Amino acid sequence: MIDAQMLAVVALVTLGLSAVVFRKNMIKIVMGISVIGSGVNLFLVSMGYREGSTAPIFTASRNAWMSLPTPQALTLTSIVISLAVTALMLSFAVLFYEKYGSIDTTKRRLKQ
Amino acid sequence: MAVLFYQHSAAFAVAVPLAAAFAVPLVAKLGKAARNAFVVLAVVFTQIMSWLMFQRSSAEGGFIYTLGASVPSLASPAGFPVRIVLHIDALSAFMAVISTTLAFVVSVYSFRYMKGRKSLDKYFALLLVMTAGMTGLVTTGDLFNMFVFLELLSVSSAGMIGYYGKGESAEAAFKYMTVSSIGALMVLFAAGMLYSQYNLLNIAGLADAIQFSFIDRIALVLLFAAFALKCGAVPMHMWVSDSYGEAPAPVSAFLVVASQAGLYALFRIAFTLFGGLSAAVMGWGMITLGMLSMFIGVTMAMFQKDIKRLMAYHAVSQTGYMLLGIGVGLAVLSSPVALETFGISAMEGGLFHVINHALYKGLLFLTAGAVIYRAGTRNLNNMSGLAHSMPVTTVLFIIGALSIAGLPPFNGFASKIVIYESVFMFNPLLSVIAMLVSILTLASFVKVFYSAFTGPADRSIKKAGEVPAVMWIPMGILAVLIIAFGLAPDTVMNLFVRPAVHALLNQAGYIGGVI
Amino acid sequence: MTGLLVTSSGYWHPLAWLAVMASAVILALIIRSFGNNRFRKGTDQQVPFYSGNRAPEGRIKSSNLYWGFFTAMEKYFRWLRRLHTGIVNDYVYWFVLVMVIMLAAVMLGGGP
Repeated sequence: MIDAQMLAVVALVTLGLSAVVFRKNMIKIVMGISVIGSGVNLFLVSMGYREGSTAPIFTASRNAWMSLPTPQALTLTSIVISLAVTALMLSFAVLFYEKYGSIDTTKRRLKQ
Repeated sequence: MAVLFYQHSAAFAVAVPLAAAFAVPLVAKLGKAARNAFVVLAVVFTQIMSWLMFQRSSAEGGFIYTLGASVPSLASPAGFPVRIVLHIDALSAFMAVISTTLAFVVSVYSFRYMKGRKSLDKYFALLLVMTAGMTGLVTTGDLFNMFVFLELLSVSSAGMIGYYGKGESAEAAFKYMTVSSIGALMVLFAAGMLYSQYNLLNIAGLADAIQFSFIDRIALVLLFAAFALKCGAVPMHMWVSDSYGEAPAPVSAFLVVASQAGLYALFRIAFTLFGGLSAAVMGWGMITLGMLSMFIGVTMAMFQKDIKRLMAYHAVSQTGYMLLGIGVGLAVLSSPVALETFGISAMEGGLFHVINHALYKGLLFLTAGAVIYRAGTRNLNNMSGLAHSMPVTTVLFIIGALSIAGLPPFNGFASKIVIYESVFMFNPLLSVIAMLVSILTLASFVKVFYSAFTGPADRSIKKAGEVPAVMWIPMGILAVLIIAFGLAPDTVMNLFVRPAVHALLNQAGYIGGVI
Repeated sequence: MTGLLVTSSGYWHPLAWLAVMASAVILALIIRSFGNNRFRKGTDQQVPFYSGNRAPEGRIKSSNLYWGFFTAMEKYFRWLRRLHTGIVNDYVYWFVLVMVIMLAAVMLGGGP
């Protein structure tokens, strides 16, 4: 279980979370979320991988050792979702900037 | 025709609002009246579908709907659940009925409340997407689809929270989107962890195969924390006050049920997916979150100046009651005697509180909207004497406030007394704190009543008068339901709540539905 | 009997409660009818009693309500306000903290 991909996954998720927790810049927070998303996607893809396997196209590689198709479908869906989330969050950051003149999260007005 | 709807009710409940959402901008080309009629039609149809789901699940004790299969009741020809399955039991149907009821009320209310604002087509489209997200989240039998519907719900909710555009609402929407996308990614991560071990995504299949390994525990914690975040449990509640406070009032009312969909997922994970896995620890975790939510939520609410922010903190506080009731049931899950004596009763109280909370919190947010609509301010210090000009809203507000404070004979009391009395047998201290929180809730609603409705009437407000009937009739529907549920709590309990609790406890039945 | 809601250690019957309440109200009205009617409009009877002084004009602002309560619990409320920073980084920080605590609890105390 512990191999290079898993270490990369843990590193990406930790990096992303630490960016979201410690960076006060909204753009960097969005980047952090993207990095977490990439880590999770890497995790999904790597767990569907089988050593020495081919692409899971049944007609093209009949009787061959195929990697699992489901995680790839999941990853594709998840990439699309994370694209939408990133775009939406960046547009909120733009709206925030237009009114507050800053993208610093400590310049918030809603508190308590 | 009726048979067709009956058989495919689950698919319709998700697909119709989703398809209608993207048709709204097209229909709006025919005019505003056509658009409004279309939205109401779609929502009512979805509601009928949830009632059909409810009927079918109570007749058959839960059923599955396999998307794209020639025989929808068959999970897979080989008996191995790999297809996308909607899995409806009494609890799912219960939640679907609640969310579609609120969807109807909120959409009717919005027609007048949001009148004259720009890009209303998109507003109603997002409202329908939210409905689809909720019905999808509560009916899905698949962990990955849970993630997809969660994101669908989050993205559309964020769009609604940021509806007013610049400034504070964009800030609230950004915060909401940050926490919910991280929560959703944790759900996906956990789904991946479970898939890597069992090659399954189906909840029932996973519940059957689960081994309680080290990785399963990590997945359990990730799912638990993510859904606790989505339902707004303290200390992960700060997004609630921001987003409920800044969203348009009807959207705040609808976000209440959106949070409850997160609550549903939390219960589903804890009870069905991880049936016995460290139930005591998870139960105590849920109780701790619930107690913190109740107390910190209500004390934060007491000093709020903004009427909607105050109500948002009360939503946090009331979520605590549900977590407490269900948490007690989870904590004693492994001891049948305790479960029989008070555990089931506590869970009944908790789930009964879910439906009551949706009703009275929806009503309160809508009355707050009516106050804002007429007074033009959200600051309680600047309001005065609205009762002179808005008698109907005042009466409706009193009904909602007494219900949330847990005063008889309203529905809030009926569920709270069940929680108090059953939790008392588990741990008296918890019950005492719950009662104290109820008193503080009443105190802070007395404050709202005092500052908004009593006192000398402001001349500009007096001229404005009562809100139009299109706005108070939806509120009236909720008020009538509150009184009816308060006067006949046993009927509601037997009809809705008890089957839902039994569905939640019946893990074997849920698994047996698929495999 | 309809309306009877059995809780684990008691029961709740809203209709019985309503009957009791209605009889209490009727009793109160009967007692009230024994009283004498000496209320006159337009006299000092309408002036609120304020320890013999003239009552001040205006009303108490809603944020000044429960002043005593907030003062008595000032430490708690100051702590509470400090907790609710409104910075999005802290929101995620709390989420991560809850995850860590739950993970520790499940690993240490959670049997199968």
